[in-house]
Amino acid sequence: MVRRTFLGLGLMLLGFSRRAWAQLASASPGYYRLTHPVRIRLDTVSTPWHPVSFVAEAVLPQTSPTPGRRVLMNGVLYRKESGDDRSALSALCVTCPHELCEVSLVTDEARLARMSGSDKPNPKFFCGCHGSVFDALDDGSWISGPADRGLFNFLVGSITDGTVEIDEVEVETLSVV
Amino acid sequence: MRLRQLTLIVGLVLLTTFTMRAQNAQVGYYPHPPGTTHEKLYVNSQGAPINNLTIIDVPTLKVIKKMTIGAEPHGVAAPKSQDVLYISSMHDGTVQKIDTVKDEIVKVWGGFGVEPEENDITPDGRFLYQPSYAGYWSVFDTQKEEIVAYIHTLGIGHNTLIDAQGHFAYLFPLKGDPGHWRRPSLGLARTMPNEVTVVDITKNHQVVGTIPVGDGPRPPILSADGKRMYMNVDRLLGFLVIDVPARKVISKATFALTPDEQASGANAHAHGIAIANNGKEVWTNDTVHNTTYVFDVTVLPPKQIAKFPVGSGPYWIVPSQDGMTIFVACPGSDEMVVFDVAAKKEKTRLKFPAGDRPTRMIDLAVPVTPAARTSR
Repeated sequence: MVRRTFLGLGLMLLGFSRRAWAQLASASPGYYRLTHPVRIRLDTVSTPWHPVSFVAEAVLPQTSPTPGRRVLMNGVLYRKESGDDRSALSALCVTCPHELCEVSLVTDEARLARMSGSDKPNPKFFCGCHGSVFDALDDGSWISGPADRGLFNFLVGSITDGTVEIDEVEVETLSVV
Repeated sequence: MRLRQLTLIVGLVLLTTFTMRAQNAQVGYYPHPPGTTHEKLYVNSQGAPINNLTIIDVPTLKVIKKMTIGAEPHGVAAPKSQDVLYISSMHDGTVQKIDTVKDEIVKVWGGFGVEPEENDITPDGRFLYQPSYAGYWSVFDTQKEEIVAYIHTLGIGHNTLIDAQGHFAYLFPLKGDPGHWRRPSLGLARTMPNEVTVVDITKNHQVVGTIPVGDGPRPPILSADGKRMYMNVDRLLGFLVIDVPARKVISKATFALTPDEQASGANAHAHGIAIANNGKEVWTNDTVHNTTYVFDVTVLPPKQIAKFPVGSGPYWIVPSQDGMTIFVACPGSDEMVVFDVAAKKEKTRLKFPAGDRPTRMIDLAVPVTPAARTSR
């Protein structure tokens, strides 16, 4: 009985380790694989600066302080310029790294002129709670405000049959969101 | 016989009047006789370059005036007389005194350090406790017009509460994450304290104790009798209940979250807390899930009795003078949601110009007759 229990536990541990290893090994450096890829039709993001919202899910690895915890992240996929170029697509987590409020994309020229970094009049993400500003053209990089980094990034993966696949997120997202 | 009846009626009227006054005094409402005040809501707009103070007539919920005050207004505090208001400006490092009868700036003082934050003032209007992001509180004597003491808490100076008796001040240093501490303007050593600092105002502003709260302090509110404190803390979607005389956390309220909500806010905290319905309810915001919660605080642990969807990033919340209307500022969607406390129902939403970011508020019963004014 004891031997069977021992064997069972050992197999479970092996299974968990294999899953964690598979997730780490297959993800890009600094990124973590989502539980399921997020798929978004390409034609829904054909117009620049019209983001499409999505929710991504990840499960924390055994090595984390809260192993197995499910994490849901709100994200947006948007196009920075017209055309079919994949590099013109950005996928960002819309949770502000400062105090976890939701940021919103500002495209209105009058508002942009009033915001920090107005020397660059391109659209920006703005946090209503404490006023952090992020550069939407530069994948959510930090411009100003109390946030100590840019917005968390998702990796835009393959495009197949007119569908964009997002399947990885910055590892740091999981410990903050 | 007729005289006896008349005496009885007069006696009953007097008894009723005294009872009402006593009740009102007890809960801290109505410092002025009824009919001599004008209830107004003052709303800071942190994102607006001009017209960044909106004054709303509470009975009609109409905007009656917009004023331009110091940029990025933060703390709002008024003495019991409510005929003046002190607002700190994060950008300018100043505090402005506003005459709430005329709704105009009457004085501006500087020297409050980097980013003056949420202040409070003694009920008699004498001492303004003004925290700075740099980690200390300035005690400003409004009569002498000078800072008479500095108090260090080794945290970021953030929220302040002074009890209705003007005896104790409670200082709530923000803990912050490492990002908060990388600011080049900050030069003090810090320990990121998980505690509230208690100051005895009557003993020359001496620190007389602390209240350990387990994580970084967030917005607090005191009951009218000063015996209970309800406060948000870091990493808690809910609030703590503190026995103030014992200086001890006695209970904790947590939001009933759906599995999806639990998976999308594990490190988040509630922000903004208000007492309503004659002290029986606490209203507080879930900033991550854009929700305002209501708890019955007549029982421990407090019992969740309602929740409402609100605008984006609900961050500040205040009650009306009678505690029967609640205002929730949602800077992410530039709106304010107004609730009927008795009906547990949304009354209306007030829209602000895009990018204004309505933030901190105060509801005042402003005296309308010169005789009722005490602060000038």
